[in-house]
Amino acid sequence: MKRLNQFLLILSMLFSLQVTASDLNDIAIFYRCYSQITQKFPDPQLSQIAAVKAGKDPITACLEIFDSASFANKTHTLKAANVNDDNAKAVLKTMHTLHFSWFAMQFYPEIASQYLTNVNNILDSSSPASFLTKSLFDNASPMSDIVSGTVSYRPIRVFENVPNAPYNGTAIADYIFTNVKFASVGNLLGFEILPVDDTLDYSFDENQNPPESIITGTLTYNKHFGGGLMGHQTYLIQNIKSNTFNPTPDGGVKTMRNWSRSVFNDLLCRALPAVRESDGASFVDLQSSITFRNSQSCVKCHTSMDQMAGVVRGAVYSAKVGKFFNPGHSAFIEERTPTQPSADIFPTAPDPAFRNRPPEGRLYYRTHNGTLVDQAVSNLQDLGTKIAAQDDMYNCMAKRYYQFFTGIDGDIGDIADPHHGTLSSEELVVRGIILNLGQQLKTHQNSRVLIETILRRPEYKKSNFNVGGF
Amino acid sequence: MKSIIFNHYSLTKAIWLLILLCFISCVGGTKSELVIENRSPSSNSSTLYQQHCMSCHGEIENSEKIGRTFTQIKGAIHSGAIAAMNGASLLALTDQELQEVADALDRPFPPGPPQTLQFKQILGGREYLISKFKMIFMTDGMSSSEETTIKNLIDDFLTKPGYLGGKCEHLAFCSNLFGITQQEDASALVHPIPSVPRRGVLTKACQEILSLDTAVTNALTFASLTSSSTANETNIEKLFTVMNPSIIINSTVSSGLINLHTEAKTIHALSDIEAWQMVIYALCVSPTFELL
Repeated sequence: MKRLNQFLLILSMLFSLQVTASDLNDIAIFYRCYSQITQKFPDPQLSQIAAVKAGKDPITACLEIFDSASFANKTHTLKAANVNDDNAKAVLKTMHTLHFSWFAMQFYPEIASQYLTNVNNILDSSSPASFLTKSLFDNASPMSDIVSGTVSYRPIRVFENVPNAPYNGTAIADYIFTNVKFASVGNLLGFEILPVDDTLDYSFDENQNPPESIITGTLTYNKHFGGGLMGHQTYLIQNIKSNTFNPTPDGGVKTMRNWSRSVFNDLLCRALPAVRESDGASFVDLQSSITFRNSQSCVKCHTSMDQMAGVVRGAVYSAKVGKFFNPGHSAFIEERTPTQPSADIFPTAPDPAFRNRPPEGRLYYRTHNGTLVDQAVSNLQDLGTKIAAQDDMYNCMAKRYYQFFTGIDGDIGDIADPHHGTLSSEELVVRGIILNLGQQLKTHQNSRVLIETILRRPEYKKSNFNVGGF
Repeated sequence: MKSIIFNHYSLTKAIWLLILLCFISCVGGTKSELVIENRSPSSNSSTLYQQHCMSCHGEIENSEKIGRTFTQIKGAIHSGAIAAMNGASLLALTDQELQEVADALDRPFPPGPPQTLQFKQILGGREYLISKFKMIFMTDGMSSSEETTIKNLIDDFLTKPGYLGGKCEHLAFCSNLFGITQQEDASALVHPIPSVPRRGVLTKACQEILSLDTAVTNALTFASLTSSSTANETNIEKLFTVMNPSIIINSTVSSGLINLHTEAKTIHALSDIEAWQMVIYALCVSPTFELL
């Protein structure tokens, strides 16, 4: 029993080490940083460790390893010299995985039993995160590109041109697309720009039983709709989550609000409602047949997500190749050409022509400082431009990187909202730090600079990140 | 050597309990209790509210409908959505009664619940743990059968699907690249979330691996020590530092580990390597071992 007591005493003392606020020495700071950016335990033979022992600044040494993952000019892949560098690959993978983890939806949903899940074989499910990763490792890529870029990125991984569909094992010969290139698999090396007019040729038997009825054709599978990652095929497919190949949004009960709710979560770090109670009042219509319009409590969420969703109202699936039972079928997002004039973007009665009107919407939410943003947007690209002009996307990115490196989750919401919880003095300090980082990011547009700023903050050098001491 | 330490059931149970308590208190996020502004509406209006409103909108002191006017309340009750939910009893309320409910709700919003800093210790994911176990408990040569056993144990406990966190990013580090049809541990963030199964896997991995003399010897070698090294402050710090490089040891922990080693030898008559095994096991099962 005495041995047991001694053992437990030791464990208790070890536990206490993680909550004390001692200053780390330079070697410990380097180990912390290295482990975070590579998700690996450092080899003591690492040259940077010897350099830090000799007096080199530990953050500078760590950033040397971080920068080994920076992309070669023009191409968006690791520099040739670093393609086989395990640390460079580990950094790239860590940060891309981190970025991917920020997205509410990470998989292709089912539609008509399975066909959107098959898209996994062609379009890497982490493609939207490519915008963030590319921005981080390509100095020429401003942060605003993540919502205003108009190109599509495709991850390049170690194993390209795989012979079988990676997720369901279908042989390439059994796929309905005769010129398909499956998503590569394995460790990430970088990204390539996928032409938005790239096409897939298809050929399949329309009938499940004889006689044969061969359907052939071509479809564009990578069309980009503007607005950076918001308009990427993968992001649209993952978030629209329609249960039909021919969605018929009417601006009322039926609209693409899953997508806009994800935009608030993924890019602005905001859960709904993103407005105050009173902001929904003017949208209440007690006579409306749309039941959520009768209640202020309901409207306060719908007013943000439904109005934004107007910009993707024209989305429709390439149904003709998706509706037949065959493991090689997939479906992609296409876009209806508007045929009807503009009308109310948040109608109080279902609008049967809603889906055929121009893709107009509205950015409607309260910023971190309580300002009501109420801006009309003419399409997805315009939405991205207007999001990039606000502070909140940058605050959101600062909050997430800060949390990744310190474990501290700061509050960047509308704290002046009477319904918002009261922040402690420590939380207010952290909020101030994050908002300041976000403001800097908006100015310099460089997430690599943001990360260095975080790593050089005094709390990063504390064993407990200064929790309890702000 | 395995039976000396690891068949001690009470020890294992106690370690589990302590670890779980620690994770509850140290690793999880914290949130303070709700503080509500006290205000006492009139008894009749309170009763009306409790009868007709509270089930959906919460207690009157913290109702989500604070500030609603007579017109708003009446309009809501007669709207399609509310009428459909609880129409009969609400529609029966008189204007006088609705006014009383409105009077009870006519007050400023209470302050929201006070918050405290949300913080979670940053834990290593699967890849970090694999590299750490290999670095400390294996040597490059892997010549002996025990080395192979250690490698197999690491594979069994850490490489294969479990609760360690860190996703298999588009089949990036799954053990069988083309044989896996689902992304492993898909919901895990880059930094995994503490959990009882995760802790169990790690404790068991430490237990199994350290039951092999080679693993103990390798860990000591990694710290430039041998089994015959004295358990003094300098050597304990060496061992601690290589196993927890981003944490600074203090004198209390150091003396505790020295005592553990000393008592193992003097009171329990364990051998040198068994005494070091105790020390390394304590470090291995500690949550500090998981921290980045």
